[in-house]
Amino acid sequence: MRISNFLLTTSLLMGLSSLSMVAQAADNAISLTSRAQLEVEVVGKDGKKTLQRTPVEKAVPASEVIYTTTFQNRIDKPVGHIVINNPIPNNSEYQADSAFGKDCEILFSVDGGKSFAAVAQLKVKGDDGKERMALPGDYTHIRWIYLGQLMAGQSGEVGFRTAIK
Amino acid sequence: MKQNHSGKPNMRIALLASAALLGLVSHNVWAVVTPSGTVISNIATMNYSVGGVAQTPIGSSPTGNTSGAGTATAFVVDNKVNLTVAESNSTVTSVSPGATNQVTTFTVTNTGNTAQGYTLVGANAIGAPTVFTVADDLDATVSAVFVDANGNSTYDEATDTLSAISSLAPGASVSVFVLATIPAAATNGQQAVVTLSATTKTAVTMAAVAEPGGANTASVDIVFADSANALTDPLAANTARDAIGIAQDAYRVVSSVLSVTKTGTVLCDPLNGITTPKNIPGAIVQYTVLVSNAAGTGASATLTTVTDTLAATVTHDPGLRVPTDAASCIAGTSSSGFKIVSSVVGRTLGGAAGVMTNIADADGATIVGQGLTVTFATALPAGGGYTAGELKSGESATITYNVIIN
Repeated sequence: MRISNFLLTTSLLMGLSSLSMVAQAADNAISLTSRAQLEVEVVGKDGKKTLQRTPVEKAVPASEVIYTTTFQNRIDKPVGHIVINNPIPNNSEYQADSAFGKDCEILFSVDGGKSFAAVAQLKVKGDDGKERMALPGDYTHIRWIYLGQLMAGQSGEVGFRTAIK
Repeated sequence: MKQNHSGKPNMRIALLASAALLGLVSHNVWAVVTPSGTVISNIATMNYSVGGVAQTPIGSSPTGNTSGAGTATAFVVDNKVNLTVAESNSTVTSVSPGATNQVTTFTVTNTGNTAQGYTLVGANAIGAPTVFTVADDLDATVSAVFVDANGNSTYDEATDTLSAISSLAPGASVSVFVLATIPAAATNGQQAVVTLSATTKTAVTMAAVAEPGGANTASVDIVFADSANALTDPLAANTARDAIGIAQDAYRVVSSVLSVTKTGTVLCDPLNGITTPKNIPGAIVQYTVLVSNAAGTGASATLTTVTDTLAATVTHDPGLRVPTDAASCIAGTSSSGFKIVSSVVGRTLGGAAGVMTNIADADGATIVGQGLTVTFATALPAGGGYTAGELKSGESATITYNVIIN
């Protein structure tokens, strides 16, 4: 499937407003990009198989989709207190241990993003009414807390994998 | 630190597949997968601060967003075409030689994510595949293939009249019946293997489905996901990802092997009594008719009648005399001239515990002139796990009557 690409054409407007908003001088400070990709096996000329990432094509139930969010500091000052939240997409199930993010603390939610905790602390009520450890399929949201500051011009990358239900 | 806990609402476009069953009753066997056409979308949200001042959170976009809510990164779920065809009851269909419209039952399951139609082909297996541990050595003639219209998994001639599946919802399955004729010359133990193949079509219109060879398109693409099978039948040797499912079932010929033996024994004569009696006028001869159904076939026989027209030189003993000496070597005085004994202890018998009268009544034995008739439907009545007149494999019945030499 082609990535839906509805570019907002309001950047000019935003640029003007940033001039007048002194208190929020840092608009446009960050560029946030999310990509959805598949991993396909490609056989090279030497016969070696390598995994290549492609835009999401031929996505059917059980396909594994890799979501990658890139954040870039576009200003000349460090950016701090970075927290990225991402819901597990609809019709998708989080794949165990797939969340990644350098220099990040990674937390999960099992209650629609109301609260977040580390994997070992996540509990849900089972069908029998008793509390049990949450399974990857119970996760509703992922949170990355970036440790430290993102310096001018630097970028970071976080992400996770899902399987289409 | 300011934190935005709210996730962006997912953009859900539920394109409901046309799951109308159109005259089919089917069964959902597992959780329904994500339907084709579903848009899966995602936006990441970022909170941050500059110079210790919290900034307005921003959302992500596929190409890089710098302010505002962002744009979903989204794609459309394609049409996964997948199916299974399986033999239904894990056993052969037992048939008799020459039987017509014999039914084998299969199950077709849509394991894809879109409602699909299926064309169906039933055929006698090519080669000699082994099904249920027996190799094919007989050719059945497939006469028809019908879809189970009312979901009872049983072929109903008046109801199950469609020969293709017009629409089967994702996760649903439906029974399909293959009807075949067994050759009249078939012998006990022979087996005819048949195959059923189902080819995926567009639901309702039954237009062909094809995997696009080129690049992904913006609309819903078709992806074949079915696996190959290991069947040896060339017809059945379908490959993976061809949108065809196939399975085999078998008809096994089970016919009874009946034998009838009539023996005569002189019981007495008026001079020697029961001691070395001879075939002289006035002697009583006992006839024994043994009807046996050979063991090992597993097939019951339904007996109809046995008849015996006595020679003019003998007269039926109306009382089934049990002589003890020369004086008692005369016709019996009762009118119960027949006896039937079953090899099965305790089986219900006609008449009074198998002793049947000579007159035309409901006990199973009659005599008209010199013509004797035993009717097994009443001599071996239904009950105790038997149908009327049934003689199971390995069982026998013995009929006894006497005649007096004129």
